[in-house]
Amino acid sequence: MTEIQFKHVTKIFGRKVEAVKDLSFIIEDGEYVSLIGPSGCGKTTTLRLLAGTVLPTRGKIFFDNREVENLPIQERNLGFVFQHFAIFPHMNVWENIAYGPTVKGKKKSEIEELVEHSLSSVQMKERAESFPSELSAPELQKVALARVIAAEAKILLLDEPLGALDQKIREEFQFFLRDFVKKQGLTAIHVTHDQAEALSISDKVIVLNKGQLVQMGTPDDLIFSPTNLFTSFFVGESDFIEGYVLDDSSRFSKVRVGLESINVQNAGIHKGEHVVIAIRREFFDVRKADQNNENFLTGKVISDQFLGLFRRVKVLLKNQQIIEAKIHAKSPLKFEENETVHVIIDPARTRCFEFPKEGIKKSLEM
Amino acid sequence: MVSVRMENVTKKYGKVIGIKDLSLSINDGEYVAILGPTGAGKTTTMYILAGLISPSSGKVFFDDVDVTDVPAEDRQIGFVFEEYNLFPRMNVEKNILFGPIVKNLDLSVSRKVALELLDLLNIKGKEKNYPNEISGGQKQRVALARAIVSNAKLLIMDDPLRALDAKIRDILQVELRKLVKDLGLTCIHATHDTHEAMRVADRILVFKDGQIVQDGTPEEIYNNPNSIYVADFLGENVSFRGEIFEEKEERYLLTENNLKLKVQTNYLTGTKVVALVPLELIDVYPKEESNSLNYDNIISGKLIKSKLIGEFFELILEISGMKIKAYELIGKKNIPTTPNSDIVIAMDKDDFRIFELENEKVINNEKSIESEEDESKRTKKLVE
Amino acid sequence: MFKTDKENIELFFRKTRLKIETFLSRNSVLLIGKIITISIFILIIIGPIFYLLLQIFLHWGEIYSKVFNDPILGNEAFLMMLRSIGLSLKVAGIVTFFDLIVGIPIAWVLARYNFKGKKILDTLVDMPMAVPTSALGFSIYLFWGTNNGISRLLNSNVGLVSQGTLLIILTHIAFTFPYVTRSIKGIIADLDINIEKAAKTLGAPPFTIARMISLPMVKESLLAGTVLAFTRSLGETGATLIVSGVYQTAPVVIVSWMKGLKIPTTAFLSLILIIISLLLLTAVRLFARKVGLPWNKVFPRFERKISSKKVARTRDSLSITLFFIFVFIPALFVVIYLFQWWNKSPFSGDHEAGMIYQVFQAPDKKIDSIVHAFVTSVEVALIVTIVNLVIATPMALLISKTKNDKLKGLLDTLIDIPLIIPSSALGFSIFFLWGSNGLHLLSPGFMMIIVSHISFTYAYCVRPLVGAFDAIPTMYDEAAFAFGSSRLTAFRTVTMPFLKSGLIAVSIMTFTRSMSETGATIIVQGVERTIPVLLVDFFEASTFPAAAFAASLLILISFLSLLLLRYVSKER
Repeated sequence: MTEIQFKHVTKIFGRKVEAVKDLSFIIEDGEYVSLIGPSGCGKTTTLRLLAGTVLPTRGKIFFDNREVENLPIQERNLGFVFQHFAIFPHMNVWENIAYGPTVKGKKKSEIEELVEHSLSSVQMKERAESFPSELSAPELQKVALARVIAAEAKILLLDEPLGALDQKIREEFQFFLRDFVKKQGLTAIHVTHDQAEALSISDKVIVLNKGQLVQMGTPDDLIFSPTNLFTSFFVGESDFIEGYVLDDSSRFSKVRVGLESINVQNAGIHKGEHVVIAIRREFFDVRKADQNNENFLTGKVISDQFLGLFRRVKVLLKNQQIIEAKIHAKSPLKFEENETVHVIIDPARTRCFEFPKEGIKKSLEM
Repeated sequence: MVSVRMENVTKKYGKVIGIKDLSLSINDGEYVAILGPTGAGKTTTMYILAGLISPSSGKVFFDDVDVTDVPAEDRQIGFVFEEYNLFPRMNVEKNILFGPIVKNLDLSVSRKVALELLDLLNIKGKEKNYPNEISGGQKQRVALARAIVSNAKLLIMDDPLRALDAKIRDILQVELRKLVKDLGLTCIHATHDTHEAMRVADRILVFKDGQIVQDGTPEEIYNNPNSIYVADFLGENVSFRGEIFEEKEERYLLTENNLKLKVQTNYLTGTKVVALVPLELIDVYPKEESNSLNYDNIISGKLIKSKLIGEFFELILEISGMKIKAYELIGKKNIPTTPNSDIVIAMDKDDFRIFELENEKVINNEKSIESEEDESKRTKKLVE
Repeated sequence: MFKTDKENIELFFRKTRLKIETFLSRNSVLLIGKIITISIFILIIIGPIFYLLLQIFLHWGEIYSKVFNDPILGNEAFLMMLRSIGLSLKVAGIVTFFDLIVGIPIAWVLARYNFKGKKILDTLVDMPMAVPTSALGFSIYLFWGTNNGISRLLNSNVGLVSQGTLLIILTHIAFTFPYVTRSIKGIIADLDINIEKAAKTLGAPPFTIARMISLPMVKESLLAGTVLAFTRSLGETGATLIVSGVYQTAPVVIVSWMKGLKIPTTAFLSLILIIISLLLLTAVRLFARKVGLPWNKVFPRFERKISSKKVARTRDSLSITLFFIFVFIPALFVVIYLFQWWNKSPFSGDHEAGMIYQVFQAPDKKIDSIVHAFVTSVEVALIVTIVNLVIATPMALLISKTKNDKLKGLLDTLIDIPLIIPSSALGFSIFFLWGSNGLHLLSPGFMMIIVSHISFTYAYCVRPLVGAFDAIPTMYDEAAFAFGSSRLTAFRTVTMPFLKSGLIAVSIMTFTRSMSETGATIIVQGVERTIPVLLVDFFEASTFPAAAFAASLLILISFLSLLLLRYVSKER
């Protein structure tokens, strides 16, 4: 178990490609943390900085208060698990798992013990003599995990570990992986492009964009309390409504949207400010306009599309913005095209951010 | 802007059968999705429509003209591949104009169309970039523009979004449908992803083992899957086994663990059936709310644990000795999340998809898909 | 008790080895290793060429008088150089042109179609590359230039094609066209066929696709193969000695001047040849990416026509037929000849004209010199192979792993030098550096043969090994490092097993190359003889059946090597 700390880490490739910019975070002992973000956001570089295959241009990295940013990978006591397994093809399962302790110069009897223990930790005892070519993808990944245990690594780096598994098996393996990491008491850092995977497997998630940390928090935090526009855009699906703050005196502030106004959660916004209201699509509710509704925006239905898991109702708001509400598949209300509706907004489930100078679309470019 | 028909088409690769006696028709301007696991014959169908492979028997018609023997280059189609297949040595502009060049179209017109498309697809300014300099999503947008600019009347897409990240996939699904509809193209789109098929298509053809097993609008297929295979492919289900009986003009299912569920079915008393309920149709409420609910079936149980997965809560429940899963959209109020709390689950009678047991063995969906995965690898190789 | 002892001993050895490897993996130690690697490279490969350049510069006065202003011959030497270089360039140009016409379709056929006998055709196409050129040249001469081969079929008493330019061209096509075929065959096979499918759905007929999509993707390799074919033709000695007659190409002139010990003129001509080759190499390196296959214009009707299956089939079968008539049959004709002349002349029935008499019974006992040359050849080839593996592997690793792009590019280019400069010129520069005119360390003979062979086979070793290193995903190294392996330990435990088949393949290649080299060997051999040179001697002494014996022996050896190579690469 190791605590990991990044202090103002920057990595520049070549002359000016800033892969990671002033990155600081702390990962606690035994935590399972995922790194997510669009491709090119710096998540792989961050992992490599942890591994030591890439050295930081500036900044410090600590493992348990020990400065490690200049230590080579060999001296960091890590386990590395890759998307494509990296199980040595010319060694059988037993030899692969024994690799770590062997090159660390352990006694033979000790090696045997470690390998036995590691094999049973992934329930692969009966495959000890098999060669990698005879194993399935999940089995290979289990061997990779066992190899880490045998090497007595405390930090587990996972680079898209489920990327090469079939969709159906992937979910099952997620549970196995998390369970395994917790049982073995490892500190795990998991890079993935799949946000659903990150949200369901981790204790905390770090969202990166353009080399910078955007938000770090529990899956709940990211879904229910995004602290910025990018997180609310990247995690799940949200719509963004432009407005101006009319009143900031109470817990819920009044924001003018077009010619209407709605109450939103007040989190440090001020009267007169140009803001953007972020709302997850499943938090919208769409009602018939002839009912007594509160806190809504008026619009016209563009489409009411059935999708199995839920329905998507697209509404053109009066301010010409289009929003899309995700509604329970069984919701009894059906909407006609061009029907005038009320889009109900629950103030408690809104997030309000300063309107980006460069415009919403530009600021969210991935 | 063309109608498409396949008549009794069979394709064999040696002994392996790609598609079997397949007939389908697509109307002018229709957006049709072909849905099925890998290995169900989707790619084969696409390739035959495109003229990239020829069928072992059967005929293909475009606008009622037999094109079975017309090579791909003369079919006036646009094909979008899963792996983009952009020309690596040409920049975006040259890629897009390849079709017009080899077809000797008026380049000034094509260039204008291309620019408009690039604008529409949000990739303006990338004209001089090479394929290895743009992201996956942008590549597929370029591939789409390339297919359309070559004067395609029929757009054929073979799992075009498979290689992309979930986020981009979401965005592109919307863009795709909009573009196809705006341009009035006829479109056929193969996918293994139910959600994608429902989101883009007017009509879905569900494939299994080289044959069409169901044909209908997204809503029809979701509400009335005609087999366990289709129901399982559409998503995760809870299954109840039991026997149908009738009481006061209503039909019920008496399950093996003695639950009495009100269902809607034509099966008569005594029929042994399996009833599937999609996980998202199982509504879960705190026990206290049970009195205010208006459902055909309300069963009490216990919440074992809950977990947030993206836009859903996954709830693990226990009802009369049975462990089941349910999905609740996070937008819904009052989703019980405290472990060990008492809850009720609520289901309406039309939430059940009921299949007679004798007709079809209950198949384990996972297993069947896995084995087909292997076969699909084989077919893909053979196609190539 | 006994078991623990054993365990302790094992542990001690393992720990010691790990410690040594860790020590050797230190950056400072690795740096020394890199310096040594590069030094050896410079000393053996680049050194001779620079020394030659330097000496010519330093002794310009002497050279000028010998070349341009000889008291007896005037500038006759220079004129001869110009003539020979002109001939060489003309031959190389024509040869390369035909190589492309025949080579590209054959590469396409081999890469794309599946048919019975494909593997055999594939092996046959590589044959002329493996067969020593002197044997090849002799065989082709027998076929076209004497009354034994084609003339016999045509019932004529004299050879159809006499020694001279045409015969040189025929010979050179035979051993150079595989360079074109090989350079693109693998890449065409690896091209993503789906990209071509995409082009097809956009309306392009097959010929247009090949021209606009596929060939541009193999452009660099095709260009590299073409340059290799060109420079090989430009620099070939062994075969040309046999088929040229009085029409001397530049490398042949080098050999004959060297025999006459005209050092200054030889040095000058060698340098010119080296410079021409280097210019070509540089041009290709610099411009390969920029050179485009021209005309984006499309001629729909024309291209559609020549895309028709009929035209394609005709083209394919024609190129394969040409291959058999002009390459394969002439190249192996010597074996038939050997049987014709086994123990008597097929024309006069004279026993003393037969192979048996000439090789085994004649008073000069040719069999002794054959055996001796054979032993020399094998010894040289073995030593060269072993030495090269030792010095080429670190170099390949260095090129593959270095992150310094400039160093990588530079080494990458320099490696190719011995590949493209004429072997006789290379041989001469080695003679010049190591011999009495230079370091005075070696005199022509066994050792100098070895040094020269190491020099020109070096690239054959490094190139494929760089490829082999590049092909190993870095994740294996990283996984090993993460568990605490030092770099050397990771190399031994993880990288080496991946390389095994690559190393074997490289060894066979190097061995075969060394066995069959003529041009450089003639320059540096002193009194030693290798089989290919002996073959030339026999030819010059007009004892054809004995030469045929030596040639067949060489062909047999290279054929076996080729089979072995195929077997090894299939294992992979």
